[in-house]
Amino acid sequence: MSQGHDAHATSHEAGAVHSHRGAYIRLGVILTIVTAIELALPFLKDYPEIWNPIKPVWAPLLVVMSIAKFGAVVAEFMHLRGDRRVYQFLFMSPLLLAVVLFPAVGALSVVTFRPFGEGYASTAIDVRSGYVAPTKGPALEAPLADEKFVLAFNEAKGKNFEAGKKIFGEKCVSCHGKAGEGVANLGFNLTDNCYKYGSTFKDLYLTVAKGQNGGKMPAWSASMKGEEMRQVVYYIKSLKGSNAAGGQPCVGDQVAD
Amino acid sequence: MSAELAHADDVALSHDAGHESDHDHGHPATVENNFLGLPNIKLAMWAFLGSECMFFGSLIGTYFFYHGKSLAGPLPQDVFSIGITSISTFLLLMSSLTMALAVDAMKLGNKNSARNFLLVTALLGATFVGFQVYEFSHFVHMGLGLSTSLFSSTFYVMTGFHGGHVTIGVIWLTMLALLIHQGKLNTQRLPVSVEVAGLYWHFVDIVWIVIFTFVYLLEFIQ
Amino acid sequence: MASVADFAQAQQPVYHMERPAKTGLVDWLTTVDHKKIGILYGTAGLIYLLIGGLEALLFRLQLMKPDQNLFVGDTYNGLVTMHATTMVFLAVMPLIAAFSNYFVPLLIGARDVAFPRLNAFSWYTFLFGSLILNASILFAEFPAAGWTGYAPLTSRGAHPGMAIDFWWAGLTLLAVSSMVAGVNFVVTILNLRAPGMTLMRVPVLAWMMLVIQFLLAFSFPPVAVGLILLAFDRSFGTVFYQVNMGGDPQLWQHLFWLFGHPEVYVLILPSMGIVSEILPVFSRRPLFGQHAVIFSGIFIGFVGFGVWGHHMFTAGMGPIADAVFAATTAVIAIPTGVKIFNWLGTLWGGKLTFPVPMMFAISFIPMFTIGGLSGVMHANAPLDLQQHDSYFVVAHFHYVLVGGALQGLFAGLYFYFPKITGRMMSETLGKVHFWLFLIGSNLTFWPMHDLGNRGMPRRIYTYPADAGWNDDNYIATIGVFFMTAGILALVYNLLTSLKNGKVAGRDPWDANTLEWITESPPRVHNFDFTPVVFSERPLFDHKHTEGLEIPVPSQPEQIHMPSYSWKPLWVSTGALMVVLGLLMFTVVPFIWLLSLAGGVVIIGSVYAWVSEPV
Repeated sequence: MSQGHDAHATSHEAGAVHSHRGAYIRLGVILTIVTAIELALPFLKDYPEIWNPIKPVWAPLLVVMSIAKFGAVVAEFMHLRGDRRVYQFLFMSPLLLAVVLFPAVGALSVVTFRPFGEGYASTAIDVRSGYVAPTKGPALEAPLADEKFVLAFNEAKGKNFEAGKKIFGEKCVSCHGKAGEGVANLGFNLTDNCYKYGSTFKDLYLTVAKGQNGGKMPAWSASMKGEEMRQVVYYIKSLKGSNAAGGQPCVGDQVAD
Repeated sequence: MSAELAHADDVALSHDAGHESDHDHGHPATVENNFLGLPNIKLAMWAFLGSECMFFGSLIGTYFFYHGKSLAGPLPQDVFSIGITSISTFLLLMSSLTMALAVDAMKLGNKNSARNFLLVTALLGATFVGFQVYEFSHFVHMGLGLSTSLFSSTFYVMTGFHGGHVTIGVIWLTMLALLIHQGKLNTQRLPVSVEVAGLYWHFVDIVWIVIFTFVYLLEFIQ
Repeated sequence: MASVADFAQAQQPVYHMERPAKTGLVDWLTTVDHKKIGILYGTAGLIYLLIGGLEALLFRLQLMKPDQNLFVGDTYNGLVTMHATTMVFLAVMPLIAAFSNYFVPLLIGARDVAFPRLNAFSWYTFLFGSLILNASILFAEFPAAGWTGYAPLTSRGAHPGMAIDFWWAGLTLLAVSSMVAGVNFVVTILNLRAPGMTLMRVPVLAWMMLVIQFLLAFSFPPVAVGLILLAFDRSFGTVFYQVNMGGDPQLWQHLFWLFGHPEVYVLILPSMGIVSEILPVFSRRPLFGQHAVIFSGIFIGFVGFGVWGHHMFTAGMGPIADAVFAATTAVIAIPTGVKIFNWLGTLWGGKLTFPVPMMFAISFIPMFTIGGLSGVMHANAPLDLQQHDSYFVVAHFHYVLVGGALQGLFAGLYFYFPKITGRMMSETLGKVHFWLFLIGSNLTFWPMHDLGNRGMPRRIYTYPADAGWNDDNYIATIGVFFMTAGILALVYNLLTSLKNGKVAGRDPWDANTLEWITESPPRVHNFDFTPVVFSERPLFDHKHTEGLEIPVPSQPEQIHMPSYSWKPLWVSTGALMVVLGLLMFTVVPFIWLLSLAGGVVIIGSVYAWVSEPV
């Protein structure tokens, strides 16, 4: 660390100062071009013939360009490339720490469910502590009675819940019966007005995704995609009150409409 | 230090007056023992920037820790406007270029040119801050208050602290240009003073490069 | 044969100072001398040690017998919170800062730190932070969320008063102080070494100080961010830790322990360095495997960033994360073990003498090892699930921090007191202190292992008589009386030895390193001439090896010493105004003007700082 002069740094300290102006301006132009490409990408969405081929590589491309810009500024403008190793050590070691540690923290964040599209996540599983601060802010349920959801439900209804029905037929019938009437000691009746684990879209989704009743109802998030689980939820929601023949007795709370 | 002692020394010693001290904090007293032959202030700035990596790492990490967990809108796609942000991003990028040119001019001993480039840099930075103020007020107008959601809290605090760093940089560069103009600073240590200010400025720029890509652009992935 | 007396022959250097030195109170307010700042840190640290000890005494009295009502509920919680916060941030940290301030420049042969005014700024910011941290007592309430301040205990809902506001504000100032000091000392140790002192010739104490300065500079930012988020939540209504808005309490835990675990090594590594300096002196042998000791310290510092999750095994991170953190935690035991065997190797076959510093240094080894071994037990995630939040954990970290860190600092205090004051401390009183403290700390903390295994949880203010915890708690409280008596012996010893102690001379312990060639106490400029170093034991070689004497020049040196400055105090005052304005934001209208004024004060005084000749 102490004696790591290289030729470049020595020439500086010996006083042979020369201008880097040309190189700096060149780099400035290159950085501008890269930034222009980054900015142009979102606008390409309107041109499917260009957009579709690059769609899968777009995100990695942005990341690579960002890292390249970052590296170029550090190496050239900040002159870290070819500078003394002690500077490199002082900056690069915590940078490396940050690059490793904070993604790790992000990965440790409780698994994010996005049942209702970007943003409107369920956080019922985050309410582990049971503590609800008596401060302002909407109640947990409020934003989830959301028209996005109703729209999607109506859309599924328009298709006669085909997708959900199909998945129900594959995964759910063994415990809940062909029409959702339920099976003794296995699955509750889904066609009455009784719900043990909540009747909202969010509750149903969480029950499907996370499982319930000590694992009797398995957690389907391991083997189903979010969209598949959503379609099942829409179908199940449509079963409410259909009171199929041979239904199991009511378990949980009666829910009016 | 006496001559025979310097001779007995088996390591590189620098007595380069231009490196012997710093302009913000510190003094030239301990130059006799300048072991690495490097300016204290530049070492300190790199170590400080290392510390800042962890600081902004924590803020950006917090943003992504909560990404997609907001319980209320508006959401990032609802408010972000690539057009406005891209202009301010470009300004900050260009300010990095003018900063590099200021450092270059100072190394060549061209004080006036360095002072002018510093002022241009500060002006570009101030414009960036202006755009950020506009962006924030625009977002608030769209219903995104500080307490609205996890997204609003994490977004405002993260970009706000970045903007605060830019503001400090603007004050720093203006002060430095003023001191150069007044001739108050030791001529020999001027190149290092400007270089260190430049390191800080470039760092603020690279933080924005990360925020711009990961917070703004990647939001449009769907 | 050359001796330490040679250095008395050197001529005094010729000073160049911008302004003549001040005297009296103004001198102490404006000093940039690392030795005076070190003494200030040390004094503050000892005072806070007494305060934190008193808090512990009070809540141990409450726990002495079952079903007592001396301090209950939030009073008890406040005492525990303030005991831990005080001991970690206001007692052990400033004592470490005292050693690093006073001795790092002396150990590496420098005249001061790299940025003396910045050093003074660190001191004032620490002082203001520590005062604010304790200021909530003026409002008759303690922060009572535990020293870890877990969300949502710190939210307005759980803690509506001002106590937590003072808590975050104080800790934020301490974080700023530590980060600045960290950068300052990294540069000092890298750049201000005496000629010839290559990295492998830097004394182990200075090496450990270098490692912890990196930890301070790089681990404080996460907790600073955590505290800022808390401040925004409490003052400006953001929702970072608000569960009903989707906030996740684990965010605080991550940010806190990303800092918290490196902080543990910040507390212990300096004591390891002190012990590594003391053992060779009183064994008359070089440190066994010096390079191994240094590299294991570096390794501990790096891996220390990757183990924070072992504080969160019960938080539900999932089996993969738990396994990774269990593995990294177990790995840290290896370099620690290396150090312990190196110390034993140093003692082996040495000509041992047992003055008080050596007694503390030797007892450090088994006490720290006990704490270290119970620490390795906690690396085992399934076992940790049982021990988490029980008194077993309390026993573990008190063995590390009291038996380890604090005893190491006591060893350093007895060892370096002659250098700081020019007088020796009383050996008899020192031995009284040592035995009382050693017996007391074992009486207090050993039964806590048993309490933990019998299921007594931490942070409860009383317990039923039939829980089976009566005897252990009774013994633990008796131990506190022993420790208190030991500390009183130390205080009495310090006060009397200042005046009546035996005059020490330059090198009372026949030691090895550069700090002992200076006068006791050292003059402002430390070294009359810049020493040249040929080995890792420059003074030993000077005394014992022909041809390796440190050359004493015949001419006086011309030196520039930094002048006093008011500016650090001004900048710190500005920072104080800023946080005061923020913490009272919700209760006092227009108080943000104070923050604004603080910002102006900072900018103005930085301008004055830059323009001031030094």
